[in-house]
Amino acid sequence: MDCKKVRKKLSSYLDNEVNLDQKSKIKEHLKKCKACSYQLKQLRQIQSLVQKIPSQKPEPGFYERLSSRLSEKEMSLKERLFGWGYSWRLFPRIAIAASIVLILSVSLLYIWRSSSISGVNIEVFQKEYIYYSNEMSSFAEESVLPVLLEIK
Amino acid sequence: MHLIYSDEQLVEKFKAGDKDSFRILVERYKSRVYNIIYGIMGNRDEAEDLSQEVFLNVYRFLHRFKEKSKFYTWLYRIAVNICLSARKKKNKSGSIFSLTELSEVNNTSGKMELADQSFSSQKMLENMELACKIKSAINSLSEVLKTTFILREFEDLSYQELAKVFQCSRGTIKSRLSRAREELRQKLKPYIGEKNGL
Amino acid sequence: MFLQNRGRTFLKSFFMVVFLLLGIMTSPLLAVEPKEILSLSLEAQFQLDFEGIKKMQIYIEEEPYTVIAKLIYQKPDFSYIRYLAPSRVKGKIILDDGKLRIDYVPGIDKFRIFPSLNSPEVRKRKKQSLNLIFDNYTISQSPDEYICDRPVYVILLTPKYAGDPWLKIWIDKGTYLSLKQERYASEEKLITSSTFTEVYFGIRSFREELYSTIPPRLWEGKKLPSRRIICSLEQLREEITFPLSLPRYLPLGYGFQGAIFFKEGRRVDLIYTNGLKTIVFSQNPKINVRMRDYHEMSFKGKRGRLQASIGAWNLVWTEKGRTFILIADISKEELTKIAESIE
Repeated sequence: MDCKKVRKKLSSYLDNEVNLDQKSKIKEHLKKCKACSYQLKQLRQIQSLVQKIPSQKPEPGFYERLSSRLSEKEMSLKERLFGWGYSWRLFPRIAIAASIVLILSVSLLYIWRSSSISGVNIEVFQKEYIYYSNEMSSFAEESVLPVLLEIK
Repeated sequence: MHLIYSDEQLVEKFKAGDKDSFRILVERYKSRVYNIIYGIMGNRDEAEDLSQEVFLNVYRFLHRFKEKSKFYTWLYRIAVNICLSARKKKNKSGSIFSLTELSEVNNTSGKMELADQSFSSQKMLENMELACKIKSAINSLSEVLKTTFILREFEDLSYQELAKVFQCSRGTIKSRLSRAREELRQKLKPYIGEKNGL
Repeated sequence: MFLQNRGRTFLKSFFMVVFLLLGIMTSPLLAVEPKEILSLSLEAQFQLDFEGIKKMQIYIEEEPYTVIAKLIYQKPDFSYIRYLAPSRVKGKIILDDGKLRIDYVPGIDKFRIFPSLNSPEVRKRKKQSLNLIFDNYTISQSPDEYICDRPVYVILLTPKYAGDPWLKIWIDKGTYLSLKQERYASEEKLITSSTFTEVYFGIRSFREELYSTIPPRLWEGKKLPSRRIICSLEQLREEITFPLSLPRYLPLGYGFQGAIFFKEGRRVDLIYTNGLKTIVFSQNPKINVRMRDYHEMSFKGKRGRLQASIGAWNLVWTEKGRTFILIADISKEELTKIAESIE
């Protein structure tokens, strides 16, 4: 894959929304190409910064305010009959497309599984070890153990 | 307690006449909906207003909801539509998060939050500036790109789910996110580097 | 008249002596035994509603890492941990409601569901493991202190076997909640120290709000991984169809705690514990385990990969079509001995 193609797909790669073939090709390219890896790093930084934006919450009593508005509003018959709905008009087409996707993905998954039983990260076992430690020992540091993996 | 009922089960119960199920759904999703709308609209009053609108619509049309799809995609679709039409009405670009609410940067939910202790006050100032830059960069995106980006980053929705929410193709979502991220990257390039940002 | 007075003074002093004797005899009965204090502290968090900020310092290769988290306990079996610092772990949430334990890191889609650690089975197992601690440790008490302005018992656990950590625990007198813990590798070397810097009793957070900090779409419809812990090796042998590999050597104080059998993967995890630490020995069909920064290690004619991570040794090797992983927080020598003794 060349830089131009990879850069187009970096965003999907970041979201893990590329197929396995593309993923491995992109990975291969990133190993060799500093410029593209740098761009990916920038995207990751941006993502991380956005994640840190504190989440906003409504003032307490949200449901109470809502339910008083509910009792006020009388649903007119007109609204009920002709109100804009959210029914999936494309439903039949989506159903067919979805079943094709399902069949494809199940078979892909089967192929992927049989080829990737060969590759497992040690972290899987480490996470189990941490869980077992928490489970089996009396004074296991319940809040310390889960972060050990992040701190290296 | 509430892990017992899935969203879809609560919808079923609501259709069967149990009003409390609606309350549980509201409690379950109110913060997420509010957060998304606040991200798009930029101020608390509008976020409150529109969030209430969202749930009023949910109440009105819940009987029409088909369990073939996930409740939250349906919910977010309502939220997105309400936001986009509100923006069109407004026709001015409000800030995504008002700069005067910057004091909330280190003040997340929970009364006992501490500032990250590894930060000196100098670093804290730098971080607040950076947060400011991120927010205005996001705000400078076009409505549709901004909304798609926010939903992806705040709710971890897959492209497939986002396509359902926005009633478009997966390819459209892919290109929207790619464009949004590239714009952000260009705007934020001078501020994120080897050492900055993280 | 004179005799009556003598009688009264005699009675007075008699009763005084009796009361004194009774006091002396019962005061040790009234004072709580350190073992009792430890035992009560295991259940303390399930008997109260509590919120606190915990500051943890972890020493890895002399470097201290500070981790800060907010902890919320609500009776009877709900716990919530939200990490506040450092930025690497900020935002990580662990929610446990007695049925499921959800481990969530926002934004990177890192999400795992485990069986709850607050369930009655796990609590029972921890109580049993306390007996192991009583066997492997000498329990003593130091003078009372104050943590967060609350009077606490100070209990010291001294290991009987070399290589085991020292433990010092500060336990709240009123609620038996452990407020501070220090773990030492040797008498002077601190490994971890964790303490509450603020505590509040009572309910301040609402569960629905806490649940909403994790995107519901992630745990919607997720099935709890079903796993059974088989507590006897005989029972395990009956269930599995392949030959079971077992270590013949274990460091002092360690005993077999249980096994987890994954039928689909033909994988068995054997868990050994000494009350405070665990050794996990996992045997699998041949798999390629990816590791970083490892050293090659030879033992008894076999070649393995050794890595130090998460405060423990990770040893991986493949033999006769089976892959083995041994993870333990013990010395390299002990680890080698265990690996060499596996049949």
